[in-house]
Amino acid sequence: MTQPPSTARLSEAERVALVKRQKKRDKRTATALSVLGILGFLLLWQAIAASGLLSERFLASPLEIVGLFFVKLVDPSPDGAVLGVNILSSLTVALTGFGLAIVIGIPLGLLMGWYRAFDSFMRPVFEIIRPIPPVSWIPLTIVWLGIDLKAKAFIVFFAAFVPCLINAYTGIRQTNPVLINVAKTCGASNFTIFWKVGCPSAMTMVFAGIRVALGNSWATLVAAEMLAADSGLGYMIIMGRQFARADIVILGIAVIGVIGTLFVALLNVVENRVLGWKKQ
Amino acid sequence: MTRTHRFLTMVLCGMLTLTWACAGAFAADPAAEGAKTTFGLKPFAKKQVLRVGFFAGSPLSIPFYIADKEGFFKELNIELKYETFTNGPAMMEANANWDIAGCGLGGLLAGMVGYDIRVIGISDYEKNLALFVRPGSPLSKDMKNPDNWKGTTWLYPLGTTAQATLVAALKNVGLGLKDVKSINMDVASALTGFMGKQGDGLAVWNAIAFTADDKGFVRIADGRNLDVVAPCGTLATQTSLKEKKELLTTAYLVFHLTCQWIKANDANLKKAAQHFLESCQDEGIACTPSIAQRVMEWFAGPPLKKSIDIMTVATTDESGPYKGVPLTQAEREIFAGMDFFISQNKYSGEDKEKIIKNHLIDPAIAEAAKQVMQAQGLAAQ
Repeated sequence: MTQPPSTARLSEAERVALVKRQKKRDKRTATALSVLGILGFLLLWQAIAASGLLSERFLASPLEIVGLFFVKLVDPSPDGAVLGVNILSSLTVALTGFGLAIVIGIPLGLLMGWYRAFDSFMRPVFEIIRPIPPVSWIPLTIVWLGIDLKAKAFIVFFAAFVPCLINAYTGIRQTNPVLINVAKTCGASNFTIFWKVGCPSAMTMVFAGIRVALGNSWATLVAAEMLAADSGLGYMIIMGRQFARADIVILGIAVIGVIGTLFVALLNVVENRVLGWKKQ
Repeated sequence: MTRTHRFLTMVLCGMLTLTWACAGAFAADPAAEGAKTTFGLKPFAKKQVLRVGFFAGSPLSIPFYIADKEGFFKELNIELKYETFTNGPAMMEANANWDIAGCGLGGLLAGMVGYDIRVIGISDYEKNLALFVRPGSPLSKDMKNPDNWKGTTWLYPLGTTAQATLVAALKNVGLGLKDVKSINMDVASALTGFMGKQGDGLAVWNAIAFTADDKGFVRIADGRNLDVVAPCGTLATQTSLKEKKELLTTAYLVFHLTCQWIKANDANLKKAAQHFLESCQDEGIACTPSIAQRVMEWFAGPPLKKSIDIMTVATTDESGPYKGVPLTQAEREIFAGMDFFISQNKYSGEDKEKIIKNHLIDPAIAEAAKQVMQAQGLAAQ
């Protein structure tokens, strides 16, 4: 039986180098697997499209979608806007709603999680609002806020607000009591403990909430643009459906997916920067 | 109780049960009755189930519902199963769930181009495609002044006949869609938004248009005075045409004979309005008795003979884009609508070629109906 190479005789520097090499190899393997997964998915998609199992009107191949992507960069038909305008319009809606959810949801969750009285005051209202699907706000939103950006951002806000608040709330409630007691022993005020112990400790959960909120924001985009729109990725999908253009629908879905993935990657970078101290 | 008594009681009970069962069976089989049917059509010997793609809140599908409620289908041994939709594209996507359906021009085109669905009849001409503005707005005072149109914001479902209506009104003053701002909204949301002071104009249809009238908005133009022809159609899937041709033919006959029945007298029109109201209430669509009455008064579902002619009689234009090409009235009207969408880059010339090449405006059911009509001597107008 082959024994694994012994590390007992390695020097400290060699051991560190070995671990680094192993980590790099693991990272390379993970990256290769991810790329293979995506390639496999695209190949399967291409194979299904080429096999004729589904009519080409219902399932355009990945190559056709890539071709359409370039066409749509300059051609506004059938929805009346080029892809760049649609992306910009959707980004404005999604990021406004998402940004508002972060700015309002996270502080509210942290405060509710830390201050019992505030929690008792806010929680019943939140529990009533929480299960309401964002789409069901559409009729009231039209009446209250009209049909422009603020109305659409409001729908996205509701989808993103709940995970932001819940995760911030749960995160701060899970603060290690030992740390709180140490701070108390050192004479820190309740607000100082909240700010310097509770908030940093909740950050892992907060970022998890932001990640979910980001997904929800994009997921609600189509519904928000159903409210009223003259451009946007959701609008493009709706128009694709109106004119039985499955390729336009698939392109809209693919662009939403790719932008969502880019945002998640960006969020990972921010998370590593902000929570680097915690991971070390 | 003696044994004999018990035996006699059991025999009597058994006989009663048998009699009840037989009576039930015969009553459920109109073919066995040999009775006359309302329109003189021959009932099916076996019970048939017809799956109807039903457009809720619109008169274009309502003859199915009226015929069902009035028992015209039941007496022919046909049971209707409804699949309800509120927009054409969704109805087309779900075409596996229905045998016959009705929808507006937008849905017809999406169905033929995207899903190879066949138009087998013209079910209505939607004239209540209306443009509204607020009282006191410049357009309410003078709609012929192009300056009053420029830069206004319009709420309506893009890519539909509402858009064609707006374009027709703009064309009258020498303008185009680029001169106004269009916001895509479904008709119900558009009205809600307009009531909430959004936009400068509203383009809607049917019951929603009458609701806008009732809310006090000013109807500045509609399909009648703009001469917008918006044919609505009856569609069938390739599968149902293959497997249920006789049933589809009977349904076609009943549909158009019901159109005749609706317009036969005021009492029938009133009944039809009541059925329309019930149908809206069933589907959760806002409607009032007054709106239902007006919807049915505007309803233009062709009577049987006319409907057959629309689908089967080809004539040749002496001028225009189809000069020299023999076309039926249905083809001419649907292509005129499609040409508008092609001009807006929504469909292509190839899409139209496909419709022509594959005979997706299909006269087969209308021709079969004509044969039945002649054979059975139906009282068609």
